[in-house]
Amino acid sequence: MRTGRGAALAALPLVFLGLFFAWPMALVLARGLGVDGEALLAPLRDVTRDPYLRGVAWFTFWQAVLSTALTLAIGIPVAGVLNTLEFRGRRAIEAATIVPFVLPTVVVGSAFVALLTRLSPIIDLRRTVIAILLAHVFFNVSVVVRTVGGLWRHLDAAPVLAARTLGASRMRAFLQVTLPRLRPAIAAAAAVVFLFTFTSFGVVLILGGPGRATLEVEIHRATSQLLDLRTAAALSVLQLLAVVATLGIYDRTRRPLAARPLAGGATSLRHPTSARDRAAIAGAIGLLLIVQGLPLVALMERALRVGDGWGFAHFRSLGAPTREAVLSVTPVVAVRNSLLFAGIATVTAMIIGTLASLAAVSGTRSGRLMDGALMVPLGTSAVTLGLGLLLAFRSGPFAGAGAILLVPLAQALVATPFVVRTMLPVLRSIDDRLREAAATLGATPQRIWREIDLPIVSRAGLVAAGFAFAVTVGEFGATVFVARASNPTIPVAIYRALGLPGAVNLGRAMALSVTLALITGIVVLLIDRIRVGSVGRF
Amino acid sequence: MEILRAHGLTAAYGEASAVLTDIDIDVRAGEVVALLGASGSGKSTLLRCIAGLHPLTGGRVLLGGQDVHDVPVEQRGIGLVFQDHALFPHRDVAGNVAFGPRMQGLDRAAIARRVSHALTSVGIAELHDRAVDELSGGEQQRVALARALAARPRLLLLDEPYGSLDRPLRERLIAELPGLVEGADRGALLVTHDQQEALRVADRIAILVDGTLRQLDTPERIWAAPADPDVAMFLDVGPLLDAELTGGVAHGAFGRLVLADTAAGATGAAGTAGTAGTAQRDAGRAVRLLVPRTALDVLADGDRVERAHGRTLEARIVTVRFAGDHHRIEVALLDGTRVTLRTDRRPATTAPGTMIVLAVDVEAVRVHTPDNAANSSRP
Repeated sequence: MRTGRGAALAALPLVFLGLFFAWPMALVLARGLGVDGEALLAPLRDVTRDPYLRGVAWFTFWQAVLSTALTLAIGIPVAGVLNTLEFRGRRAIEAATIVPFVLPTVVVGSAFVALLTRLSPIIDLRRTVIAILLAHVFFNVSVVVRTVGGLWRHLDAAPVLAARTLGASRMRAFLQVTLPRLRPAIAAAAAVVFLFTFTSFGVVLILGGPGRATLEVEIHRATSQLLDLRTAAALSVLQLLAVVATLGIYDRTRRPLAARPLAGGATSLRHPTSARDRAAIAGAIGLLLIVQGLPLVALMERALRVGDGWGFAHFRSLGAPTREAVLSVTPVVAVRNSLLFAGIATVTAMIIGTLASLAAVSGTRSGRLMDGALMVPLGTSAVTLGLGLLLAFRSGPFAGAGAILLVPLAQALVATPFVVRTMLPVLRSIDDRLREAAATLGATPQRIWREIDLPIVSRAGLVAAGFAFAVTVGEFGATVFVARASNPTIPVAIYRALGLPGAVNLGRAMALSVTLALITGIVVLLIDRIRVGSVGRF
Repeated sequence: MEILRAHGLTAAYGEASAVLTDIDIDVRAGEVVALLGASGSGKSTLLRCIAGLHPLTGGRVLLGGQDVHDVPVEQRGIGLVFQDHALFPHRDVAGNVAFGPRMQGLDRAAIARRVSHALTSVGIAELHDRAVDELSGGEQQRVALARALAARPRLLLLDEPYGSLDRPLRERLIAELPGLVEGADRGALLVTHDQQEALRVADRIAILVDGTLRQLDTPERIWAAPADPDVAMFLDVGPLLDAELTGGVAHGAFGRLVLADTAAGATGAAGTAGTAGTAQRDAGRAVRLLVPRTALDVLADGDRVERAHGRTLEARIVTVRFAGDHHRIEVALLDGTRVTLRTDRRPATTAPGTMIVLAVDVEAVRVHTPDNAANSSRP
């Protein structure tokens, strides 16, 4: 009976993922590896022999390395201050660092366009590598602060004090005692940041310009501008290999946590005692303000600046039709599209993700299969997914009027792993002993389901839905492949508006970006209010 | 009054052989019974069987005189406190404690009274509105206890509730336990693997070894007369020596020990495990001698009788430590068995390796013959 239940739960997710993920990805692989009709590996060979594409691959790699190094260099000291010193506003700052991470990539792109335009009279960094690196740091600093800080806060301070009494200087004690203990967290953060920046799309597309393309951007260009699906597929395969290799290396170097965290959630936070402590706090806050605050301020400023004055004209203009043919609908329509698509995608992702999670915890064979199958979309780039959907559904039910459904479908695929990642730990955490405790306290089996399972799962469900919505409403990589000119979403509209000349278009792009940032921000704030314990923590 | 009685209780996990075999145990009103045993001895399973969370393969459980075979867990009126507390993460402290009264269908005011009474009785009234994941281990343990108490159970089952706490806190919470059953029409069954904890808190101790109940008695009587070598080993009463018993004299690798002076006549309690007196009946047989540490002391000049009657053991000093009003001496008997004893008599020489003679209070020595080794003495 158990087996039957697991299989029944897994059936729908497996069919969904098979049809809309596995098949499209198989087509990308077949095309990229040259399985369909030409010499095996011919497309890959052609790609690797092309000097321009080799340049793209090399650029993708070294900008990711540099971005990661820079993010660690800024993130680790900030994590140290936020997780060892207690001061007023620490929690608020900690919460604020997450904001950039949840912002859609196009919003980050817009924010940096605004900032770099503002700075251009002094130093022109527009369309430079530095712009890309800065945006990557803006985005990913919170990954380092969260991952490394999470461990740092619960590190026992005693070994450091011991090292100090044994004659180590502050720096020496940090390098020889603290840093090695933080290594697992730093390695994990570095791997995540490297993967994010290696597969960076929206930011590079907007800030990079010609000659500064990552593999993701090149896949998009090959598809949408050159209509060269063969090269796009080959590049996707290349990128997939690089991602798998990175994960492989990370997994090999990963070690069990070298540091034993303090028991019972105790922290080693202490109040600042010296001028040095206070300088460290000021330094960390200053760093965050520059790296994360400034771009957002510039974005707001640009969205509100009208001519030489200030106002909401750009926001009001969102309802007016654009003169340019590029965006055939008003931005307000894009907002409506976004909310509608994100809504459909969220519901879809919730159904698929919840069923898949339930199957995964059912303890059956199909459940375990589900568990593994769900990890694959997590490691696939949205752009590759978009390409796959395009390859799979150029004809058939999704070609004509049905094409509009591809957008929420693509978004649902991107969001489903998030749903599973939120639901699964919660479902697993409902310890049988909670049910037993309830039973000994007089709860009947039905009452146990209502009092224990349901409240916990439904809260996790709300968090998951919030996540899914935040992810889908800002989704750009897959959406830009499948969205038609007649039904753009906010991110697509922002991207297109940024490509148009004139201050009005730029203002509109900024106003749209602020709108999108607000939608995402509100959803994320709501998630933060309803989550239980550590469930759904970013 | 009898709160719990289990008869011939037997249980198993899946197809495997029995985890619990033929357990007879009872808990009376106002009493704390400690269920003591090594890990894997079946203590927690016994608790789960009584609570109705684990099926019996045989035997009966009576709660307040009523057979609860067909009574589901939620109607048994049992308060179970789990080792890791199992607090509901989605409810605050008051929400956790109110759970039982709510299930009983009490009105709001009554629930509130129960909650505040339960929280006060375990000394955490101020935690009322706190989230449970913000609490320390000790606070969580108290919430778990309050949650169980608020349902007003007749029987409180505690599954190593202090296991995860640090020593001082553990001691304090243990000391509070008897107060929670005294006077109330309630009994408690406390699972623990810590003999000190059991000795301190329990009115009676049940010793579980490999799924069988070996002894159920007051701490004093169990200590004085462990039912079998396993119980003695578990309690660490003293060394168990392999011996050949002939005419009241035990021989072994440890040397020779005269247990019964034939001239003085046989004395001692009858029973499966006898004192020196019954040893005569086991003449010429292989036995195990349980020599309580408290029956050993450094032989002094005045101990002429012991010397004259061979009530002595030779030993080699391993360490001697000064402990204020006494010394702790670790010695190795001739068969290599190590014993640490407490004495007021400082040996003449304390150098490790020095041979000394120990006086033995043979009245306290217990003789276990192989065929009685597994028997338990029942109340």
